[in-house]
Amino acid sequence: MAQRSSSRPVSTSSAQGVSSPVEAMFLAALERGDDSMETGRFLVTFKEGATEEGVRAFGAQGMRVADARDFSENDTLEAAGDADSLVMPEIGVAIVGGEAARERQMGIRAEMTEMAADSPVDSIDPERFVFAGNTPAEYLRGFAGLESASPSEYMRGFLAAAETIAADLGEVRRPRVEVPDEEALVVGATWGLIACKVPPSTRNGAGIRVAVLDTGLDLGHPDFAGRPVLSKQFVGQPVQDLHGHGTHCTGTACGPQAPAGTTPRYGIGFRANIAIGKVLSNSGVSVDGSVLMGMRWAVANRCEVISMSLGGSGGPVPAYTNAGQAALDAGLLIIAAAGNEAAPTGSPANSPTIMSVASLDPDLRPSSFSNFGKIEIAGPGRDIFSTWLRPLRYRTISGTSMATPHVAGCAALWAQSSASLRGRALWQRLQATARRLPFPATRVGAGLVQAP
Amino acid sequence: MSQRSSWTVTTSGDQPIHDVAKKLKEHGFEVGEVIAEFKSILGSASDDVAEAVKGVAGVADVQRAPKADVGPPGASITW
Repeated sequence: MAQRSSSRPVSTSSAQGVSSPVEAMFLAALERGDDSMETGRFLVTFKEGATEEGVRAFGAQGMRVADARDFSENDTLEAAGDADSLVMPEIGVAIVGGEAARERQMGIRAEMTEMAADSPVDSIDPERFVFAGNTPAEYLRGFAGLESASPSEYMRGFLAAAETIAADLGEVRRPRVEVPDEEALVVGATWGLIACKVPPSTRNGAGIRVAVLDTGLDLGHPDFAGRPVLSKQFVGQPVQDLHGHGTHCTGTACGPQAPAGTTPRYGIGFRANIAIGKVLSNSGVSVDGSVLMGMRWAVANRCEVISMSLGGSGGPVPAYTNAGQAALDAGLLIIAAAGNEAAPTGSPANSPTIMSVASLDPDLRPSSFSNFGKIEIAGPGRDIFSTWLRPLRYRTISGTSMATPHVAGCAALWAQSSASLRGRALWQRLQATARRLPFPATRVGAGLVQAP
Repeated sequence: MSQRSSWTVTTSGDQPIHDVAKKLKEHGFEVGEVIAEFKSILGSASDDVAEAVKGVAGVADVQRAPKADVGPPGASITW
């Protein structure tokens, strides 16, 4: 039985072909302000045993049809090339590109509650984006009028294609912690900012440039509206963040003083100058030399604070050590996440010229996942609420990646407080003013970072 | 012919970095970016060439290009 689907008009663009990368489609959706979560493509489900007949019908309509059986299991949808449709006979479903669907009025046919009895087609449904790691219900909370939709309803009609799409996005795993910070909603600021004594600080980071080297930034996020953003990409993709990690980190370091509505304050340097170096792709990985290139860019642009919530396992990398030294020599400070492997600090944080950050839980104990060994300081890293990609806008996640921008944000406040607090002097001030904790320095360094 | 990989060469700083880059090229090392500020050279080469350039004067260290990541979108363990 066919089901009634969205009545929203479906726009088309060159980013809606069968072989279009998911990232390109999502970027196009953001650019056109489309919060429907529809990709513009359609999923055609054939009646049982009618797939071959359906394929013939597609051909009769002049559609170029690709067969998924012709591709290897490692291929993504991009392997379909310029085909109008990709048929997956094993599951009796076809993906039809936006242009081909528009020409054949599939948007209108998707409105029909039932197909003709002699049609090989059982249903036509708009394809929607599937986001890794978040439950559908969580995403649905961001959409007015859809609050009552259940996860099963949300997934209906396109589960068959979800695995293929997820393969484009990367492995799907549940985030470690995603507990809404109810307390923060009451007190008006996140637990992390309160622990760091940010709300009572009179500093805001004005005049200080904070670089966040990560997956980019959701440049159209309303919480950054009006903020000048210096940006550059080093991975061959637009700065626009399609991963979310970079947007989350930037929110903590530089988010607004008073977000709209009941959203608690989660950002520290709300007047700091934002510099976004996209050194990780939308898949969350570096591309040859991109991290070093981004570090060079941040140093060349004299970013007083350079926040790096990224890393890899292994010993110190001499090039990172040189980069940290070059930054210190220029009066700049690189701050990096120790890592979440419950193992020795990874690189670049393990370089002696780069400040390494460990993660703390809300009870100010070291987080179980936080790396250890070379640790200079600690910051709130568990259950951190901050900005996320639209349409969700906010998300609570955990990691030393979240602790690092707390330190970077506080560093910007300290740097604003005195022109002498730059580079090594800023490093020392952060450590000298940290709140001492009853744990080994190898776990928390000098302690919990504090705002001036 | 062995496969090429990306490498990061760190120089000792006792010779002009562009002179070191020139020597790397002479050994078959494909020089990409020269980051003089960090005394580093990015490029690609086969394992054999990478091993050979460790002996070039002015070269302090040769490592495969360091990988950094934060995990895939939605990863439970990032960085």
